[in-house]
Amino acid sequence: MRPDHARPAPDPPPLEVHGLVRRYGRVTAVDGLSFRVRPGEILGFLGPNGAGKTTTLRVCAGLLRPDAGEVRIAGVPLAREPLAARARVGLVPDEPFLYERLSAREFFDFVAALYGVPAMTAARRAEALIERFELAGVADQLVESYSLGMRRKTSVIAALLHDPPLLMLDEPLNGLDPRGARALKDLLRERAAAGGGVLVSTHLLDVAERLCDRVLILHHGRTRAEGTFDELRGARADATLEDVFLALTAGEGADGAGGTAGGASAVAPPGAPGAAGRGA
Amino acid sequence: MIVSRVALGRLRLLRNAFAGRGSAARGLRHPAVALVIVAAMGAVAFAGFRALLEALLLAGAGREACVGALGLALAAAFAGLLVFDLDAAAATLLLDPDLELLRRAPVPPGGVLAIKLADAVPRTATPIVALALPAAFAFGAVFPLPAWGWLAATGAVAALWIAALGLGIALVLPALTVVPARRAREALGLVATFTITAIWLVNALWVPRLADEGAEPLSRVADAVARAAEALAWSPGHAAARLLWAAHAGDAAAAAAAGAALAASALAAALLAWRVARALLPRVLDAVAAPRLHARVARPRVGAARDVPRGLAAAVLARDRRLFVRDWTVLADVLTAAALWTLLPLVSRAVLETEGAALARAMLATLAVGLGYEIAARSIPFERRAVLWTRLAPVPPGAWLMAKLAGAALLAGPIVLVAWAILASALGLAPADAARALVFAAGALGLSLALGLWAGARFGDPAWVNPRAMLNLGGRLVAAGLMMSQISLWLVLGFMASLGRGALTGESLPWLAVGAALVLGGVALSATIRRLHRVEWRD
Repeated sequence: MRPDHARPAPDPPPLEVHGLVRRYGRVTAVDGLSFRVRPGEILGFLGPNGAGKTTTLRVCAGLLRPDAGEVRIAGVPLAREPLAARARVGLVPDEPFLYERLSAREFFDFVAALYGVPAMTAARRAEALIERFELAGVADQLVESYSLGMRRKTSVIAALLHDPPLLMLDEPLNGLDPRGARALKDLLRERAAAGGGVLVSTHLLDVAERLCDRVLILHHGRTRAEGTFDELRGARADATLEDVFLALTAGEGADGAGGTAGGASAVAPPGAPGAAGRGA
Repeated sequence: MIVSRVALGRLRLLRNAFAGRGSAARGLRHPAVALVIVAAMGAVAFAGFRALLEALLLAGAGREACVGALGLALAAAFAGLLVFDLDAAAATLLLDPDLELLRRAPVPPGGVLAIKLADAVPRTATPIVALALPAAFAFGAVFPLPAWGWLAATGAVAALWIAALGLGIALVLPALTVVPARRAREALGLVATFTITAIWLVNALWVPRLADEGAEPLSRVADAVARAAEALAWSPGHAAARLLWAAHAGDAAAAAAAGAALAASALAAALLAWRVARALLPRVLDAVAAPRLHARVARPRVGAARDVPRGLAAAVLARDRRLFVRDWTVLADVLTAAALWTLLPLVSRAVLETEGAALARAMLATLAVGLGYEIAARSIPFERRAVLWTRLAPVPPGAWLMAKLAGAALLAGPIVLVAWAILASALGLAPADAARALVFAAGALGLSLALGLWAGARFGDPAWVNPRAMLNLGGRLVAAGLMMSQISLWLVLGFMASLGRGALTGESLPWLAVGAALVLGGVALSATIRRLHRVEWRD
């Protein structure tokens, strides 16, 4: 008997995406994308406007159906077990869609009930997060009086109430003040340290560079590069993530490579403009 | 230069919309559909008004009655512009997404006002195209006009439009300096709702009496029109009517006098709007850019004793209750609509001898069908884009829909019960008749709520700004067709029940109808669940 059989199976990755394709009419927004978010990892999802980041996040959250490919949330196939998969993911969308005439606390009660979180547990988690994001003074006011930053914080708290193994955030720092941004970044690091997976889609390259363990650069719906910053920099040790990003996403018509399945090495398509980010 | 470029941009938007570019301009949402509907309404108004004028002439009514009828129609269009479309104009002026862009551009406030007023023109055109122009043209068809008379008719309608919009802007802007734009829009929407109430009450209780048995309907109509015209002789609508009559009579001096009065009123309204806008628009635009909503506290919190809902259905019901109670425009709209739907059958009572039990069945059936639209069809779009959280959560669409159905039934049910109790008491129904009427109403309500939920899921517009338009235009058409079909069905069934009273069919018909309604409702709910499974979140 092999010794491996005696060990408990390792936790499945919070997110696995294989060969994901999503089209809008004739436009292919996501084209054969494959990647993985590992337990305890913050993966930065980078790409120019229209690269397919938001579409990918929405497919992974079950808001859009893929035309091809498979998404697994914490080992649960989204297509076959959508409810079980959705229970394991929290999404902070790019726009904080909230009920204008509910207070934040009422909204948290509602979301907790949707996810089947016991009332006491939900209240405890919500209060801790309310304190952490400094919303205590306004949590009983109606959302209609909130600023964008307060709405964003409310949206983040709602996505965390059921303590999902995977948290996906689309441009999470938009509208947050420095204290709020710091609180969120600390929170994401803590979740990763606790073994959760975090996928952050952002345009803020410096934030990605400091926050994320690995990044995936998406262009025209395909992976252009994936890896740690050191891997992406490759031979150019002095290159910043901005340099790498601009080099990889410059120009049109490059036939991007297929995605990776979460390998640690950086991946860039052969012949892609600029080799700065190529780790190989 | 900038204004002309903005105008060019607007033309491009129009071209793209008619070319069907973008998902917002496809199918029943294509702007051509709206044009066809408004044109059809205009054609009906033209034919109806022409028939009225010809009937009045045949009945021997004089010039005063015909001119008075035209004046009333034009005054109604003027009032319609003020009441129904002012919220659209205010929204165009203050809430359009391009407002911030225009403000950052080097365009003076007057230029912004001019651009936004031009934007408001198509959104406020319905009373003009569907009522004022057809009435003026019908008048011209019955009382031939010279060429300059047709030009004068068009100019008169344009003057009415300017007067209404100018007066409306002058009234709304001062209010917006003290009330947030969204609240002002809600208040305007409520004014529109109450106006509809008044019109319905007049329609239900007064107009049918004009055609009461044993009288001369047309002479009553002529008398009523003359009295109303006399009371509204000062209105711009009547000035326009006098202008057209003078054109028909070839009386250039009288036409000039009426035209001058009309032009003066339009000019005065435009000048008033200009002065008010010059003084207040920058302040209003600043307030719109940085709204200061009074922070309403939802509920004081006492320790850990929170009223936390347990389970999906309880959570959805608690959420819907809070949203509904706090949105007083929607609440008022639903309650007003409930009263109107109940009163609808009184129109027939005025001209038909209707037995009490049949009238009660008809009133309860129309109320139940109306509530399917007023409550159930709004139930899903009422959540706006926050419905996203229900899509994200592990909630089966069927369970969510059942919770929405329960919420709609909890709101609609008591309204029907109260109406039933009042009707049974007021009409002195026998217990058996009252029970049959209630069974009838329950069947009608079950079917209408199911169909309403389907319409809301299929045609709901999460970006709605007017509580009366939570479905898109195509959806409102479909919902109206469904309501008409249901009302017809229940009225026919009620009539059959009356005929078969005492017979087996008469006794069992309400129960059979309820059974069929539940089956049909189940089919509608099943279609809605399939729809909810399929629908994607692209916005």
